[in-house]
Amino acid sequence: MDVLLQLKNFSYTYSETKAAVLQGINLEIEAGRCYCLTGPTGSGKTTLALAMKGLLEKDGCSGEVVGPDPSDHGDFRVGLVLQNPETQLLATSVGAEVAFGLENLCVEPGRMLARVEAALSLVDLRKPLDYPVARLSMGQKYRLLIAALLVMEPQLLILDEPAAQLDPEGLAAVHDILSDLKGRGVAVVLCEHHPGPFLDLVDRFWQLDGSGRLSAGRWRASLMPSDSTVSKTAGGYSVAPVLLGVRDLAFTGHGDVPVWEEVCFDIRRGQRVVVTGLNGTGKTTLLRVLAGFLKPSRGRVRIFDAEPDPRLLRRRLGCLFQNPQKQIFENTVREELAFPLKRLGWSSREIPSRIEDTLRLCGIEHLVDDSPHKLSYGQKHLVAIASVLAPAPEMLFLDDPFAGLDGARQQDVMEILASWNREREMTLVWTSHDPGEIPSLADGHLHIEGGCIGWR
Amino acid sequence: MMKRLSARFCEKFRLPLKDALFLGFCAVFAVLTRVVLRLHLHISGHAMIIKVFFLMLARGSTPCLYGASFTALLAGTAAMFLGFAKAGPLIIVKYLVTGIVIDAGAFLLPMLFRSYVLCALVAGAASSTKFFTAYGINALVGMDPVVNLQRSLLEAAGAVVFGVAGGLMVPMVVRRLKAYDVIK
Repeated sequence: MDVLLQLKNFSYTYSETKAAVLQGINLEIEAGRCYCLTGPTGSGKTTLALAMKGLLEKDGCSGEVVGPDPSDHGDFRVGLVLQNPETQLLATSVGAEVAFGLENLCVEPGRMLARVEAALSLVDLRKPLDYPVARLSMGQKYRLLIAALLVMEPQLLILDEPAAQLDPEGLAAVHDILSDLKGRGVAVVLCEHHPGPFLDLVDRFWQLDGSGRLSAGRWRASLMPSDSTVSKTAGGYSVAPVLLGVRDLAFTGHGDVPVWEEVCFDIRRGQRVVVTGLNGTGKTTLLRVLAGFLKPSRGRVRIFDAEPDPRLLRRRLGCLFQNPQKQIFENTVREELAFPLKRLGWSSREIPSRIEDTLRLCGIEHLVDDSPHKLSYGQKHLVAIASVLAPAPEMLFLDDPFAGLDGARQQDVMEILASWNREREMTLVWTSHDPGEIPSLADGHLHIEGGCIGWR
Repeated sequence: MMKRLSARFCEKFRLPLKDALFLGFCAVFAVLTRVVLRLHLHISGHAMIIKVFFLMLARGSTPCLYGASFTALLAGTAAMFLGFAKAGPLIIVKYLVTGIVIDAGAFLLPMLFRSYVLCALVAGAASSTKFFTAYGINALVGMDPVVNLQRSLLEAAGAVVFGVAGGLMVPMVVRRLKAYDVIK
């Protein structure tokens, strides 16, 4: 097999840290093979992916990155889809985004259309070419980026955490694409906490151990035996007061197409409800409407016995956005957690201990003085979760809270949510793009399909 | 020998594209903000708040030893063509002298952009150059030395107050830019 890329004794240190993120990495990537890079959250998987793509700053690098011989392979094209697709999108419409790569390769405009449409159909993204990128869900944006790379026919394709953003249908489509690419001699590297859907494709597993060393094998989270508190329901919520009531709710999206309609449900104090649905079915939209960030086209929402108004809900409702980058804004993790507490009038004596407790529960106390903007996607997610948990609101909306977290971290977060639900009767509503995997934490399951939302 | 010296000189004064763009942005904003916020406050020295803020930001955001002076040169040239302050080409000197003081301050005080106190001191020193430039320009047009001294001192006092205010904003912005990994 042709070796496409070699890393020889490669190490990398970020300029503001003393410890190397990657240490003495030796690896070879061969054409037509699929590799899966595993490791705990924040272990350096994305940094290694950036090294393969050649996007790391030269100052922090040592060792060698050797590409293929240009006489054999011409221009060596590496495609990389990052975990947060929003950092990579350039154009405002679907067609322009996919065509951007072709423009850079100087493909004639007349030939672009067919290639763009073929790439979009490969990833099963059925949207008009002028559809605004901003209106796509995170999963759809991820598919769009894969299409934008496939159209350039890369020799090495790197996907960072596809399972964190894609629903089962999307993963099945990506599986078929990767299988086809392997057959055509394209090398594939997956950075993935949950490689289950791709197991039959993976030829070799690598693991990063958290100290920057790479070894062969698959990293698995050492899960503690599941705490019985997670699976136990708080009980008694069936007689608890209704906190959230929805009647005949409808929302109309782009081009007057209804996202969902005739939605009716009640959520009671202390209930733990998961909202499932495939990418783009309107899970995030539902949470936004319930929190009062978006106005429904029809129907009524009553939350805490009032119309939803973000200003009035400030003390009572906490919201975790799907993309943590949109939520965090302070200079350090400590300041990030302190911000809501200060706004809610906590005394300066109580704030440090609450910050410490919440960070310890989330397992990120060592990051307290770091900038949240420089953390990995999974770590950012944990910081955002900690910042919405810290003020202990009565109700929490969490948009895909487990995306990008390894198994151990997912369990930690579930344990925290379960204990806060039990001890403080915190009502939880969270979304998931995998209807097949309902966490034991949930005692209610709303499913979105075909524009309808109903209990399962 | 000369080759080695020139190579060392080039390395020392090399300006990477990212830093050059940042300095350019600061220069443009220093001028644009003044154009957009043309405040006829009739308070002497109020323009110094913008000038000092952007010049100090330019130096604080790049490792370039002459960042503030270079930005001042760019901004001063633009200001001359836009006809600011009715000073003609002398406005370049006004900007440049302020920039040189900021660069000197940053060279002597490595922790400058982390400390509000040091930023206020350097901003005050940079703004006080207003006295010399004002005195020089007034002397060129033939103002009586006694009147000139009093007038220049008054102008410089206003400039120092506003300059210090501009300088105090810098550590906060530099810290935020570093947290977002925009600057190293």
